[in-house]
Amino acid sequence: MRTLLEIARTGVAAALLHPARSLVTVAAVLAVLLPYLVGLGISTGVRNAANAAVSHGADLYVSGEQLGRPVPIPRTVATEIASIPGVERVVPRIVGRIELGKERVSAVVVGVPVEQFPAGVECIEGRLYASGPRNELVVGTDLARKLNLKVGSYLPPFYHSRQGERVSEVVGIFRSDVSPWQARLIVTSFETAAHIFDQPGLATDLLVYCRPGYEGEVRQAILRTTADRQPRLRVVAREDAAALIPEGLRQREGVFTLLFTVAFAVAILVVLVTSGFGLAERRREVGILKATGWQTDELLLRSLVESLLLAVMAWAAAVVLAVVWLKAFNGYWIAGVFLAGVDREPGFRVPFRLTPVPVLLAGLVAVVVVAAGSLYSTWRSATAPPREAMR
Amino acid sequence: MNRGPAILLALTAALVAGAGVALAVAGDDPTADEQVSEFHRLVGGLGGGPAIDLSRCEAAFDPRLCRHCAHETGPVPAGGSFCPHAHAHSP
Repeated sequence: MRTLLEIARTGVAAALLHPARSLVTVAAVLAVLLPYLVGLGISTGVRNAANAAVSHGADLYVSGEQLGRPVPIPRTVATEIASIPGVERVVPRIVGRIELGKERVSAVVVGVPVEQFPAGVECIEGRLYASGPRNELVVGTDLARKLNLKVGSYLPPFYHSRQGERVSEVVGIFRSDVSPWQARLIVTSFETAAHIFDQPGLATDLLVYCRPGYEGEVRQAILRTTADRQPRLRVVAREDAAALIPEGLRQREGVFTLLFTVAFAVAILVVLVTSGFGLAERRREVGILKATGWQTDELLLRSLVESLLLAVMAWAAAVVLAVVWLKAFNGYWIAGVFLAGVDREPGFRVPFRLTPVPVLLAGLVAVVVVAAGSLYSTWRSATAPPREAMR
Repeated sequence: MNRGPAILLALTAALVAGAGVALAVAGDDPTADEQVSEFHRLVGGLGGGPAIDLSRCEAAFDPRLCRHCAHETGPVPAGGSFCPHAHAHSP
């Protein structure tokens, strides 16, 4: 045991023998591990945010479909659905796209009745819009930043309606950390949204809230009672949404992981070059140790300890810098990899979560990268005749 | 006696401790959870796709709004047409 510890100590000393090589190795691993950890943190955070969008949403989403495309449905359908046993309430919602400003910033207008919501809400700076036809808007953080909007700002008419256009007032701005999907929202009353799109009496979808355990029956009842209605209704249950939503995010995560698999392979080659094949001194060092009586397994243990030390240093530095990148720099540049439409400097609080398992896995990857790069070259030098290794 | 290895080990231990502290600091904020819940109750649950607006397609913003991607062309010879926003139902 004492001998092993002594060999391990020489492994620590070996990291100091070639400081430039150790620094290059740590930097190479850090360069790959840091964006990987940041990406893992953001992808987990976005997935959690997506799960929250499902779990805090409605039980059923009823929308219309014609020729395989989504179409609005009459608001009166809400009354029919509300009369189905097991339905607690039905909320009509408008979701549509508009463009604002000279730069035609894309925004998502959401119109929902606000009757059942208390006036003092925490997720908004300012206040909630009032119900009715007055154009009071709550806007997302990215939109507010791009259009330089503040609570109390007025927007000149940005739409055309047969009933005439009105000036809109920004009464609230969403807090930046409530959801990434609030960034480009304009949330207002149902009547105001219908006025903006000039589509009175229509809703994009109906949010159906059911009594616990009635979701399946209500879904069947909606499809049965509206079977001969045009447009045809489509019902998405919470479970369907929970299965649908992660697919798109997983695809992006998959591409990201694939890119980093290649990056890790390149990092192994870099460490190979800095550890042995490109560094004649290290080969000579192994040859001298072999000539003075060191065994191959002792040399491998020494190299393993050195690799472990460098990998742990790179991993720990990567974790610290990843948290700084995510918390202080708000996922600058990399957030756009996971969410389309996000600027280099995100206009909202980028969700992230660094869980222990991926963080430890990244540590294991660091050890594998450094060890694979170092051990092979050490083994090649150690198994060669000392005279050749020292040449 | 050479103190280099001891200093290197101490530096590594400090880095690991720093990583632990950074991870602890980066934990969840329970106040934010309540605000998240409130936001989704207000808008009826919105978002979840890999885009933050509707400029690409509705499915990329929220797959509940639209079953299919607006860029979906169906099967094409030698593969499928990939939606640049990489969301559900793209071939």
